[in-house]
Amino acid sequence: MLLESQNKNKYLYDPTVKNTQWCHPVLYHIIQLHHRGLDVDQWYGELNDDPIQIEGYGTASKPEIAYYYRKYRLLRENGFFSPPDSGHLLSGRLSPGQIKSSLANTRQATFEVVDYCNLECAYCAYGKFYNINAPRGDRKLNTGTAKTVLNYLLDLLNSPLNQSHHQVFYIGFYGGEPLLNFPFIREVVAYAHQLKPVHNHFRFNMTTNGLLLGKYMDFLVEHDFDLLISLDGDEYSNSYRVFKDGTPAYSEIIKNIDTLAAKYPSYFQTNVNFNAVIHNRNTVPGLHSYFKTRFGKIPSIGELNSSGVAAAMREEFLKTYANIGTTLFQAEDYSLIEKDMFLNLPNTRGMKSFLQQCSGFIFNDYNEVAAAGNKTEAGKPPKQTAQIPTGTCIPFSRKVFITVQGKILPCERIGQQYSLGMADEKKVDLDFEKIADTYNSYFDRLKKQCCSCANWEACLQCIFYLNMDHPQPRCSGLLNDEEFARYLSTQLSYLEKNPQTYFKVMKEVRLV
Amino acid sequence: MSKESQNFWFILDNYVHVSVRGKSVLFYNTLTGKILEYSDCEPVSRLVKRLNSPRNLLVIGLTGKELANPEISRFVKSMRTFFMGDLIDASLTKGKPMQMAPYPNIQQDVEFIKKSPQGPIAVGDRMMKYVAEVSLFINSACNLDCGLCGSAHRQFLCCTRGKNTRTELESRSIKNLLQQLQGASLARLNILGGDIFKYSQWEQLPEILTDPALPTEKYLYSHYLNLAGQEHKLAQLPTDAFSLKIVVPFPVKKQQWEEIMNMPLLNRPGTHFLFIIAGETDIDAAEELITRYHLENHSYHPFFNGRNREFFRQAVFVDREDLEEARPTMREILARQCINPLQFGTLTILSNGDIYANVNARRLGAFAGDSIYDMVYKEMFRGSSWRRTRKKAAPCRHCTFNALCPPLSNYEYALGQNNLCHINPRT
Ligand code: SF4
Ligand code: SF4
Ligand code: SF4
Ligand code: SF4
Repeated sequence: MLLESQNKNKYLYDPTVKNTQWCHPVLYHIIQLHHRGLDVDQWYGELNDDPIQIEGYGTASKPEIAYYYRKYRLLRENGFFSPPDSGHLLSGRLSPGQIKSSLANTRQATFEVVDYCNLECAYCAYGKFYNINAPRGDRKLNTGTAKTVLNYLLDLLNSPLNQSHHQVFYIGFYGGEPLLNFPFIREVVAYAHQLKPVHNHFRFNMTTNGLLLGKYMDFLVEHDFDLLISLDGDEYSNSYRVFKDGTPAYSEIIKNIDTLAAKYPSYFQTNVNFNAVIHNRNTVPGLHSYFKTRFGKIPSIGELNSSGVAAAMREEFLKTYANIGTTLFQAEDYSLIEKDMFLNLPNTRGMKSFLQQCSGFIFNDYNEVAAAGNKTEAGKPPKQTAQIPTGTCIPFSRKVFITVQGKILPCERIGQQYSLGMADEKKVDLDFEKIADTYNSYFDRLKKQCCSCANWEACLQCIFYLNMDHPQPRCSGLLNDEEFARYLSTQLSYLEKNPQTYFKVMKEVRLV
Repeated sequence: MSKESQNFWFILDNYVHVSVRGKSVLFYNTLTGKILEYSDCEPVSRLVKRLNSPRNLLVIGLTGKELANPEISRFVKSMRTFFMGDLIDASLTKGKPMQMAPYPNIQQDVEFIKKSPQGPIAVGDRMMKYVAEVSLFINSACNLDCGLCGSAHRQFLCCTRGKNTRTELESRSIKNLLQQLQGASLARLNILGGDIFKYSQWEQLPEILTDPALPTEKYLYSHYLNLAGQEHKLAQLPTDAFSLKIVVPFPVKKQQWEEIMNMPLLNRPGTHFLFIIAGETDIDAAEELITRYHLENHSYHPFFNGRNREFFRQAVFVDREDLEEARPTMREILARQCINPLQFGTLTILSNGDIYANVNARRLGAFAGDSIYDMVYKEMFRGSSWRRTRKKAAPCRHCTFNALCPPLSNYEYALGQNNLCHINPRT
């Protein structure tokens, strides 16, 4: 694929060889001929000694053409320009065994403790903007179900299917506001302490709005919880986080946080993090400086979920919505913020995924690099293995999420209609074969689109955000070659202007 | 080439591997195998320093004046001649181009994880998937007394009697081990002795070899002299469950060799001869056997016996031409900077129960007592075999060739030097 940056520099990206390189205009011209289906060898053979006119370059003499023709040949002999076979490469299927093994290696079980909350934030996923989720309820998950789930998982975690060792396994509490059912948390924690994982250490984590921290902080500290507190910044910035009667919750939350920080300073330093949502009442620089000066913390920042917004609410949603990139680039002290928040910024992640796709220098694990280290037939790039279409995770590879009703999901971010199984006090019902069939049938329905999508290799699209209830779901992320080239060019242009970002990503960005 | 007032971009190609050590610079074109070296050339060193700077990403501006410097001009010319770099008139573009500079980034990099202040210590994260090859020395009993016994197995896969005592791996423990390896990506299992036919729990082998969790590549190793008369024992094993590797040191005993050659099992697919070579005459002898008996499946294994250093210098040590011919790819070069591709993922269990990532390195633990998870974790953490690279080993770490030379093997241990080369012979 041929690309041009805003600076009018030319590049060649080859997905099969996995290499992106700067490209001289004359070479670029020759590759263009190749892409148009011309037999370049024949073309060259028939050239006379006259110079030729090349766009964006001027006149190229015969020796120049001869030189770049030789370079073109060299690249071709080394496997460049052979199109990747996306049909074959996307033919991967999920097997029941793979899913079971994924569950035996999962890193986290998160319980939806309650499905109600003591706040009514204006932008809540259960709130007025959205029509996807069931309305707020009054349900609690019962402890018996949670214990059954933990027993079931422990069997798998302790089995040889678990490939990890000395690995942290998180038991997570999520809501609604989880602290509204504290007895559940206390009982599950006590139960987990009795269990004997062989390859894992159990730890606890919780996402909370902080309102009940005052009451329960001793317990959380005693059990070494990792806490993620939702807070959108100072009083005005946080003003979408309100009680049911509309009064702001800021002062109560902040009182609790200050008490926690004063009473347990070292715990506060090591175990507490903040999560802020960006909207029209705050900015990234504002959040950065607020959390840094007030708590000595760098927050993680998320955007409002723009999928599933009710049509009638669209306008109001857009007024509220803000995006991290825009508010960040406007910042005067951009570079300082970027330095502090580098790993948390969406453009860092975007750049990593771009470089992973285009540079050929980023490997997921040692097996990938070891495979690369094996000698391949001269000139042939290493064989790629078939992968599953879309960017959906292998179910349970990240976590298991259990809803108040005992539905089992691969995470908390997807619609509950996609539940993969059920748990109750007596048993966990997970049919790996059925799950594999379900996923594979989803993949079958999307494969055609993915095969024609230029972004298939680096796709991050989760299947559950597409309308899989529809017989022919459409992915709006599908990119044709032109759109994809534009995306790649934008990233290349960014790196031309910010070359230091390249090594920063290469040296600092790892999945931990 | 240019007028003095003109400005140019000089761009190094990113399929070129550049290595700088002190005043020496090496350029290696991974597409052609061409190596260019500059030592003590100040202008080139300065350019390379600029090219390698994170702000420049392999692209630097050169003025017409700079290009008039004969050393720079010669350098640029060679770079172009060997397709390692190029020059373009800067006025053709609106700004500086960039080049993604080669740098290996492994997302689950253990060295990185170890140092990371935040996040759980994830060194053991899905580590069992790395276990790819296991060698089991099931027993030590053997009635032969080969000169190479006890040292050959430290250089390549070969049987060994061990020291004084007779030891055996319990078949129960082997089954238990295979059970624990269910989550591994085992691609190869090797079974060696002693004389494996003297293994007292031979009748357990069929079950072990047909374990459905095992890889397709399974090898039984035997000295050719131990093979004679063992047809009935081999017949007790399911035929397609393994391939035979026959160890042949020289000189061969004519009569027994003939006997072996008449065994029908030699026609089994996959039967392979490992010729152990300690000198030129052994190569001749092996070649003669190969021709005379039409042996298709065979390989040579140089053996260092302490007296044949000169033979190794000739047959094993690498020189520049060897490397240009081997033509390591950019991916191989990246891999060699992070792991040892020869050793990564291998485990060896000796008949006394000692477990190693490499038999020449420190023992990881004991077969009976420790869980294999603990052993793998230890090696993942330490990396002293799996991640033993030339970049970390003296004197290679000071050498510009350290990513081009083949990964450290067991011969470096045997000869007691890492530079098995003619390039940098100092010790
Ligand atoms: S959003 Fe989709 S891809 Fe992401 S963790 Fe959830 S199920 Fe997996
Ligand atoms: S963006 Fe959509 S169409 Fe493209 S690969 Fe991903 S899921 Fe398929
Ligand atoms: S046959 Fe193998 S185990 Fe026996 S003495 Fe020879 S090298 Fe040692
Ligand atoms: S063996 Fe070591 S010293 Fe010799 S050329 Fe290779 S890296 Fe250099």
